[in-house]
Amino acid sequence: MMAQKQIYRTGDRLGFLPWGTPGRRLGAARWTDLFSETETAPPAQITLASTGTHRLPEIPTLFRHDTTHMLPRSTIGAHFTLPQRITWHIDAGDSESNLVDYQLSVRGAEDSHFVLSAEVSGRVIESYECRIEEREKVPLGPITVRVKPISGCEQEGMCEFVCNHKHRFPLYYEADSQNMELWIGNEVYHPISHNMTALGNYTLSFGSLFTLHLSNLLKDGIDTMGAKWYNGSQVFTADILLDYSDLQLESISSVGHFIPSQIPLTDLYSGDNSEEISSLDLCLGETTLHGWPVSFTITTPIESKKIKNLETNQLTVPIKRSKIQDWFDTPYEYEHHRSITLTPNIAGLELRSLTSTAHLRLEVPYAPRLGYRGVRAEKWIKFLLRPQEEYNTIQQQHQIVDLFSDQDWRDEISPEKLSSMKRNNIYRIICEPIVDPPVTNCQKVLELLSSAYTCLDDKVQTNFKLGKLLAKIYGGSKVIDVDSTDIQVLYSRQKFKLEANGSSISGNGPHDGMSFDQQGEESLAMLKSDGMAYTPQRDDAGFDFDRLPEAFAYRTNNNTFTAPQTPGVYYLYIPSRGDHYVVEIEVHGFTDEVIE
Amino acid sequence: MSVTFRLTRSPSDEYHFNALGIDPATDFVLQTNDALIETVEQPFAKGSVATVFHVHEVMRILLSQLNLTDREGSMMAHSTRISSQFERLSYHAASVWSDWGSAVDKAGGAIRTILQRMFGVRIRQKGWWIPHLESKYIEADIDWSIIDDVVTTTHLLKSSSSGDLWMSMDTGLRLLRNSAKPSGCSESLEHFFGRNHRFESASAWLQWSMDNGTQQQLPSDQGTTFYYKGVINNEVPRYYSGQVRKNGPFGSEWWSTELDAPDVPKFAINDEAWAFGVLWKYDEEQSKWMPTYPHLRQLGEGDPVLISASGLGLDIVTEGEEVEENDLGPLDVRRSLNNHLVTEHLRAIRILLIELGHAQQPNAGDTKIGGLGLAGSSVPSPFSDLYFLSSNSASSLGVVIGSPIETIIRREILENNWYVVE
Repeated sequence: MMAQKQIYRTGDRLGFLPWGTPGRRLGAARWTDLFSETETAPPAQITLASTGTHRLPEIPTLFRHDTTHMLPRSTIGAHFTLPQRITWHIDAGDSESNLVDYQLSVRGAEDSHFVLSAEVSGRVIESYECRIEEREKVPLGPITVRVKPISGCEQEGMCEFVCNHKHRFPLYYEADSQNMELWIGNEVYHPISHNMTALGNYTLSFGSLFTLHLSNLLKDGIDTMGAKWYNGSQVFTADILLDYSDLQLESISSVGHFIPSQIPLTDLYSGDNSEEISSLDLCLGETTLHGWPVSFTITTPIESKKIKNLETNQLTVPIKRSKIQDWFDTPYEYEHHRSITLTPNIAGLELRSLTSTAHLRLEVPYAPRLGYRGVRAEKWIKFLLRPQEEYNTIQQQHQIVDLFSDQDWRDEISPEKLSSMKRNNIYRIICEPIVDPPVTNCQKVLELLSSAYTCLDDKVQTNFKLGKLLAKIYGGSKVIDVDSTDIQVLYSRQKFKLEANGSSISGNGPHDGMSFDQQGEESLAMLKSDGMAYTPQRDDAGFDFDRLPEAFAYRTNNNTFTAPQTPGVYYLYIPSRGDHYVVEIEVHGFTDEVIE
Repeated sequence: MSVTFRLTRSPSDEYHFNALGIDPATDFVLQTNDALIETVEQPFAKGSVATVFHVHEVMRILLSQLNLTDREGSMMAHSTRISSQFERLSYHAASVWSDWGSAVDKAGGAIRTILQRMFGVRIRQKGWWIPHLESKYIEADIDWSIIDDVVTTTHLLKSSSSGDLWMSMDTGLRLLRNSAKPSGCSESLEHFFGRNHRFESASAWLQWSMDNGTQQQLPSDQGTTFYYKGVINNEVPRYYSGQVRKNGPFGSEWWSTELDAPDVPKFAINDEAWAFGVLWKYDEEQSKWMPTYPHLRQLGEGDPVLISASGLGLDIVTEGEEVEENDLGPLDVRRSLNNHLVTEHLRAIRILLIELGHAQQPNAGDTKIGGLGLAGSSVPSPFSDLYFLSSNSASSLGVVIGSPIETIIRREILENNWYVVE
């Protein structure tokens, strides 16, 4: 026995592979135990299978009327497939075509159809949807046509244009002009006159004069325009581009705007309803064009009105309080915005492409989002519309202490600001009992916060690079106008600057700043942002280190503040150069999870 | 104390020839395919150029003198003992013939390689060899037999004339004219090549593969499926696997990714239409494309039939080892078996297409045997088809090229590989 690797299958030895060192097969396998002595008849020889896949010669599917064609008689052979005889069938459809033997006779009107099917070995293997064209289609290039107004015409808005084209062909075509059609969208128009002229053997000149009303040319939904010139055997086709510059339509475009364009909520819903609290200033274009009168359609949230027979193109339309209330009481896409549109009309055609829009905005103070002790007791807008005396009544009923009543700088703060802060505070407090405090719910922010600003026993350790990443998520630092009565929204440890009258609040004064809680009590000193940590200032021996995450920080060298880490409502008091500022701040957690 | 050196005469040539047991005057003819080397009239004579034949003859002398070991009922010699004895006899051979070292190199250099290439020596595991000490012949045709023993030529010439022997100096092949052959010690060429232990035809092979393969889904991450076209023109189909493994199947005219492609043949097996496919994947380790998961794919729906070694359920066991479930053997053995199976499948497809008239069959007289899918091995030995017929590389000597039995051997090998030869 030679060296070998034995071959087994399901426990039975079948034979062996001749095998030599170093681990190499020496020759073909020997299937010594596979064949019995009596098994001598070889199995029948394997033959090629008929797969039933045949390749057909290509045939056209567009045929000219009154022509004959010979269809292929057999399939295309391949390595393992012999050519097979094709039997053709025809379904004449709406044509008069027929098939005799392999000869196809095509007869039928333009765009009529018939179906050819190829049968091989008793099986239909392909069907062809065929179309008839009466004339050969000869494409021309696109043609640009200038549309001109017809002045003095009895019917306003009539225009004329000439579709002119000259083309040299590689073939000779007859200039026997028979018909011309202009397709605008799905509509077909015929010219007043048309001709086709031969210039030499291979060049044809086409010309067609049209007079059409502007409304036929500019109506909505038109996306294709084309011309077709017919002779006895061909149809010459061209895409048409209409040039309207001669109509000077842009001269009737108009603009309008509201003065004022912003209405405070309290102004809209208080006072006499007949009072005109805004006006719409219209700057209209030409009031006649080519002798055609121009009118305008003004569409408001509740109605449309047409303005015509105008003698001037400057117009001011006063708007009463009641009208604007109607607009805002009508449902609209945006709660605090309304708009009107101004569309010019000429010769009975509304030119929507020239529509302009004027916007009116309702000024609604930013609603408190944080600091509620429960479900809001009242809708914010309804609350805002309460008279001032009602606020006082609610304050007394709920025994709400005046903000900063025991602070000696309270009188330095503007009454307007104190009033809005008081209103917001009352709104927060008149709610149901306390719910969960706000949290940061953005995983990415949470991860970065804990490593960018690590609260140690006596300081907040900062990581500059991670802090930058966090700022990137927040969209950078923010500038707050201290005179604004709005609630300022910040995110945990977001950087911000304070500005008064356009100048940055800076210097050592902000170091003495402090923040207060929702009742205006329990002040917390400002941290010093220095180096890589936020620390209490040197002489601040009484700093409550348990409240490190609630403290603002200030960095002198770039006048930048940093918001507290814990989300919540804060009043930030900043003395600076003899002035005193208070800003109402809501530090939000992220309201939406950021998905990378 | 003093030492006295005495110069003595070196052993005479006679001493060396005696040690070899060879008469330098022995008269016989050595054949060669090399036109530059003239036939030496007395190959054993002093100063003759040593050839592969001389190396084999020395090895035969050695094996006939060696005390053999009885192992499992067979008398065997181990490479280590053969090696030391060969070194001793080489001293004498190099003393009487020129270029002995060069001849040893041409014969394979290493003892193991020389023995693998020699007729008359059977290979066993772990360095053991069985020399045929008794006369043994493989009857090639009506005139000649291959001498498949280690009976020395000197001994042969005692019972046969020089004209009854045909011996190649290049390869060591020895033939004996049948008329001079003793009776009762021959076996047929068919027996030698194990024809009865092979599948009878390409159809038989594919049918067996189909019947014993496993119907299963192919993995989606083991390469791209390609289907074999089998022939690319109507000449003798020659598939050079090395080129595709180097350049990849994309762009190869032999492979198509489209099962429905008209140049991918579909075969009727068990009343269904099947095409042969493999997954081609680039092997970073070997830096070449590898065909894996050979399978038959049915037109239409249904999983393919996997006809790889695992798909066919084949296990490989070295002698003395137990068969274990899911143990296909060492990696090189498995890889070798899978290569063998893919080669068989591809050749079977080509042969079917020849039989069906889509290509030409090879001719036994055509010496070009590349790309026919014959069995070869990096170890040249009489078990390798290429060892007999291909002289294109160091691992295939073309041992019968130029000999009287060249055409009959080529025909036999082609027929063993299912080719129907004219």
